[in-house]
Amino acid sequence: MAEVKPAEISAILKKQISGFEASASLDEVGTVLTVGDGIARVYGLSNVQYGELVEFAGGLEGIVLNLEEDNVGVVLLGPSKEIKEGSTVKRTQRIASVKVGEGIVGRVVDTLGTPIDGKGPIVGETFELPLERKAPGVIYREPVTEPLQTGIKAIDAMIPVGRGQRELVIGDRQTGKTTVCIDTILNQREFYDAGKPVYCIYVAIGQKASTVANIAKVLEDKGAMAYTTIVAANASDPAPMQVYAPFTGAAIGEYFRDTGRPALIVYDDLSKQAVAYREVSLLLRRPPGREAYPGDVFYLHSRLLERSAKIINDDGIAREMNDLPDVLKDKVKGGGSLTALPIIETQAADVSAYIPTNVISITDGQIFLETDLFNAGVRPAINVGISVSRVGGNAQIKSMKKVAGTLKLDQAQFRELEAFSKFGSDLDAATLNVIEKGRRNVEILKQAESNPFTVEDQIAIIYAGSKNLLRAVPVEKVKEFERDYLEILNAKHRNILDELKAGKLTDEVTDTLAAVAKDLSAKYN
Amino acid sequence: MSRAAIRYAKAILDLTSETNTSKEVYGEMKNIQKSIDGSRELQLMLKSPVVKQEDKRAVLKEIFEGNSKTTIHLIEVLVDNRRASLLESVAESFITQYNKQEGIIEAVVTTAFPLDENLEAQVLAKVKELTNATTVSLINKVDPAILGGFILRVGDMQYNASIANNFDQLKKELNISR
Repeated sequence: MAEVKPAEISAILKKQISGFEASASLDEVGTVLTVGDGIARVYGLSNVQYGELVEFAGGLEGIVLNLEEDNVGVVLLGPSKEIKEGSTVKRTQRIASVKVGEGIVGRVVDTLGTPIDGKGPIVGETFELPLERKAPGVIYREPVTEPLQTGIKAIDAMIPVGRGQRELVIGDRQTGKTTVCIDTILNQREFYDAGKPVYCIYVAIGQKASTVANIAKVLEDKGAMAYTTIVAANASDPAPMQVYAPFTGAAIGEYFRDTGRPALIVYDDLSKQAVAYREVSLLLRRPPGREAYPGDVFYLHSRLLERSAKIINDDGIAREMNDLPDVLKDKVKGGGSLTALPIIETQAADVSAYIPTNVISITDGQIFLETDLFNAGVRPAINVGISVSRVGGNAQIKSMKKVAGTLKLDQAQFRELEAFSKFGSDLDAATLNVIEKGRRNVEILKQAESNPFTVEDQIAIIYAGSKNLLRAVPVEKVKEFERDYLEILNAKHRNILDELKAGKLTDEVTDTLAAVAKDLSAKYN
Repeated sequence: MSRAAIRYAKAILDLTSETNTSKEVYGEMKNIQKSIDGSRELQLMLKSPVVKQEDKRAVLKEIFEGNSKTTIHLIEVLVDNRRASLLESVAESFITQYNKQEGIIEAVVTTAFPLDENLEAQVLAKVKELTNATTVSLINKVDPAILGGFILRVGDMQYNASIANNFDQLKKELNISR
């Protein structure tokens, strides 16, 4: 750090103080009646609006969440230590907002957008964007057509995610939900390097600070922090901070979306947010409903996830978008997108609990992760039978669509027959064939952590699997085969892979793939 | 303020309006509020469930002896209904309701030192100018923590011209451009 001379400090201070106008302020105020559990009840503030920020003596801020006959319920965005009964509360005439700009990329911030990574303030121009914003209307949207490559074979082949889609990642604890999402962020490195970054936002809600630090480290080490922002509301933060953290993430995502760029946001996880919201609601004495969640917990998630969208590729229309903050008005461009990967943690695989069913119904598909598969060594532990992507089919590149089209059905058939074959009866050749092929496909779909595959590699290996080119390779050697096969293709047939990447699946390409696979599989006999 | 207190206050206001004793009772209510507010012992005694109702009645009657019939009856009724603890809020509520009915605006001026008459007149003039009110009842609170200047509060609006507020603003200014 450059040395600062005392004279300079005085000069800066002098400048600031000379520009400071001591003025009396006219405010609308109220009086604190009670305070506790992160909630304050305030008498007065008769014109305050729902969702408005109010300021307590001592500078602490709160959000108005309850307007009642003779008092106002305020959730505090910080420790309630300094607040006493009878202290004054001021209206600020602002709603909760976060400062977003290009400088926020690569940073770790809290719910209020304050950096918590110790790297100083956020540099560059920033725009104050509201946490709560209405989702873009129908005419400002476009169907999802572009793929968001997750780099995970099982997902990109069978449950493809498109840009602007909302794909739920659901499963019990310890099934690799976070890993799937982090790997997806890591895979965007390719696009960053190519100069067309997909900006990623990872929202950590109610997690251990050490977990968040670990994730930040993984992203840093793999060079993913260059295009990623982490929003963290840790387990020790007050419940309102945990409730609003996803909204902060969405506001950051919207900045990229509305300036015509693709963004990806991971909410890890929304069940914790719902629990925090339940806590706040119960403290505000709102009536509890099913599982003690308040009545509007569905709206909490639906309004958040609706903000993920693919914006129409027309600057003129995009500029007219509803509920656009004034600061962004002259920066708006069309064609941006915000893809959401919300995570829900189930208890004992119970997807019919309240929050999982809600979020399943809101999102455009779900990726189910299962403990049994995880323990059986199938990682990522995706149950492809019940995982779906409701819009993703349009968002696959052509070659992938052709190659992987039958994979999902094949695997479903395989699982059925496999269960049957466990009875030990004699099987005919056709059945055996399906089972053998299925086993190899399961091997192919396995993938190590932090090891994303490029789309062309994925197509090449899935082609080999679905055309049964591996029938001569023993199941336990499939991984080895895959490695060698892709190595050969990358070294000797780069042009073929480029064709695949461009979406072309010509006879020349398939012939080469088949030939390479045949040559190589002879080695494993 | 509890809803019960508002009900009691409304009843008294209606009653006194009929008998044209509102103004007199208004003065007494102000007195009651001031007395209770100023005495912690009295507050605790009224709130305490251990003290017998009869004792509360006796104490209140002795303190507020010589008040009008309505006030004495209010105290009796409150004690009978085991609501003696509400007395202060009833008085407060009566004052607000009376003020509203008569168009009186209550202004609270917080200063670091007690206001002298000259200053009080100036502040009164200022309040009248700001609110277009004809009758202003001025309450002076002393709070050394504001250092200097004054804070004027009328209803939900607060005009903060205190030195402490200026310091706060300066602190914020210096913090933001860090």
